[in-house]
Amino acid sequence: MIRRWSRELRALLIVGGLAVAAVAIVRFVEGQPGAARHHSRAPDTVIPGTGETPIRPRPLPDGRLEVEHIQGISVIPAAPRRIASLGWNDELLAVGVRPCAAAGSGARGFEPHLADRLEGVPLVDVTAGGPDLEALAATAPDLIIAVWYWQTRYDHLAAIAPTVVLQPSHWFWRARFQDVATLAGRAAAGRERLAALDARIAESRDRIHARIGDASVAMLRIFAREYRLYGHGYSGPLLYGDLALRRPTLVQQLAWDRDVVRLSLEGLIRLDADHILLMHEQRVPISASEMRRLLDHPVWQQLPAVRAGRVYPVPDLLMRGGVISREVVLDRLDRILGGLE
Amino acid sequence: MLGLALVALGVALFALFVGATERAPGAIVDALWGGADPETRLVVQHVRMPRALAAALVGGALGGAGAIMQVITRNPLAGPGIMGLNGGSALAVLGIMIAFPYAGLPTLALGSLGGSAVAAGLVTLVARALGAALTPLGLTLCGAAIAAFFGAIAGAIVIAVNMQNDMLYWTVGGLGTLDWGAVGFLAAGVLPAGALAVHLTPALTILLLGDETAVGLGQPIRRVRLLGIAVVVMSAGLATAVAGPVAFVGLMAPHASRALFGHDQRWTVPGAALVGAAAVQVADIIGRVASAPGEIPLGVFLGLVGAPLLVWLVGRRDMAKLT
Repeated sequence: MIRRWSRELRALLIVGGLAVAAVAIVRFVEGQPGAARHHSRAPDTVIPGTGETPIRPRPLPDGRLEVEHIQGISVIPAAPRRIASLGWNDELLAVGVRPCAAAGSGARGFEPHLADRLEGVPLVDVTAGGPDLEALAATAPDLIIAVWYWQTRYDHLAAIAPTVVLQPSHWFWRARFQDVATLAGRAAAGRERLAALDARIAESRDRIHARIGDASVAMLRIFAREYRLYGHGYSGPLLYGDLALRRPTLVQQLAWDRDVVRLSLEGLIRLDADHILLMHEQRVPISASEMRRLLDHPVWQQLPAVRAGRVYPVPDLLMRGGVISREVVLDRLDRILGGLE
Repeated sequence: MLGLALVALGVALFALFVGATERAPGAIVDALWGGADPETRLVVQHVRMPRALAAALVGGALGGAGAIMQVITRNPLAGPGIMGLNGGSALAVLGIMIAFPYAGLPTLALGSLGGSAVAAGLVTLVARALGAALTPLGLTLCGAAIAAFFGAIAGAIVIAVNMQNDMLYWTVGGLGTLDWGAVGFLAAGVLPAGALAVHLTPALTILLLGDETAVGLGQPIRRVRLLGIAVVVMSAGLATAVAGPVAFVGLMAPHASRALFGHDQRWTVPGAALVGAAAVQVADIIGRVASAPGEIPLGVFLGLVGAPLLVWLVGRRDMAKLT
């Protein structure tokens, strides 16, 4: 009897231990720097090339530049001629630099909105767990600019050419854009391009506000069997920050402090947006059938924006960073919300 | 058993009263009979009811299938996946996605079911051709071989055609968006499979005594195994096809049931189905309440609910009695 009780007691202790461990592990992981891989408005880091902190190249006596970044300090040419872009295609093209190699998908090529401009540039497949190092080395770059996803390959990359790793940021994308321009030796061109984009944003903001007034706009994405509502994620800062569109209550309550929240079907009922920008993966056919299923569902049918006919399918372009893609997104928003159709 | 059934029913009913949005309990009861305000009616009739039923069916199917699988292969670590079901299903789904890119859920689910059936059939054929016949060890080893083989082909296709995104779509499981159509689809397969399973349970109990004894007692052991496999394919295959891969229930529920009911399969198999139904229901409730009105995938909490439950049940009984 006593043995039995002690066994039950031990089982209970293990169960309790498991529960405590589960909570502790999740809490611990949440607090790690990698958990905020992308962005966040208030990074507690001052590492150059992350958050809002720009890189600050220092000239060396031999004419080269010393750059501190996430992975350490690199010595790079002051005027690089052959830049390999691992994740910064849009930014480089925007300041008029054609990379000597650019990241893309082996099967699907470059991002559709950049494919024309990258024609003839050797593609480095990054879909097989990291950049294809052989293809990259074959292009003999004198500078590699990489996104932070591939920091585990840093030693390999640095063996090919001096490498600077920058952390993408949805919120501080301007700082990152300027970093890329600076590294490419085109800092002035970068500033000009940003000024032009800001003027363009102001134009769109006036146009859209004149048309929809104070109406709220939600950015919703159907991903597999999930409904994802965006706050700071992806084009959120453009929509709610630069264009100053009103956030629906649900976005304000749930998503604003985060990149994205997954909504349940029931949670969707409270989506009080006047306008919905509906994203879905165009390149994944199965999402089309999932989307049809959602659009037929009574929960969807009763949403205010749906009843008012204010749902606009937008390509997954709203997901991308960069200046050129923002211009494409602005064109699209001008047509959808600004009445330029 | 009655108690367990009441628990499963209780959590299913409880599932109607909790969700992403707060509703008055009285309004929910009214909504069941067509009363209450339109929004509550919508939530109860079109969101919570199909979801609760789907959770019960998926959990029941996986729990029951796991119990049958553990008897047939006499392997306490067997789950519904051990017959190569998941590999076959993934391969079939890939094939359909390539041939009919715009296929909807029913086509994909049927295809996935077909793939599971082909895999299970292949396992039994190979086991027989090797002379291992349908012995527990023969089935387990051939199952592992076929599963790895199908998995490798599927992996090769995914890379060759670059369909990682599509497969991700398929494998992100969950009950979140299942509507009445999906529930009807599930029920049409799972309920007949359940009836067949109940019919098989006396024979399964005898199978546990060992093949020689079972034959001596006049059991057509090969037929029992084949029918058992058919039940597993129909129930677990369909559950996976509709809800995506739901881990752990098929392994955990049978052991929990055995800890409660012992080795008489007339009790253990239905018991495992009820434990599975209750566990999936509880995990799903936690998943949608924990970050409401957001959603946390089912699999996250199944482990959190299931692992401690299993540890506690194991702690309550002599380990020797569990196997």
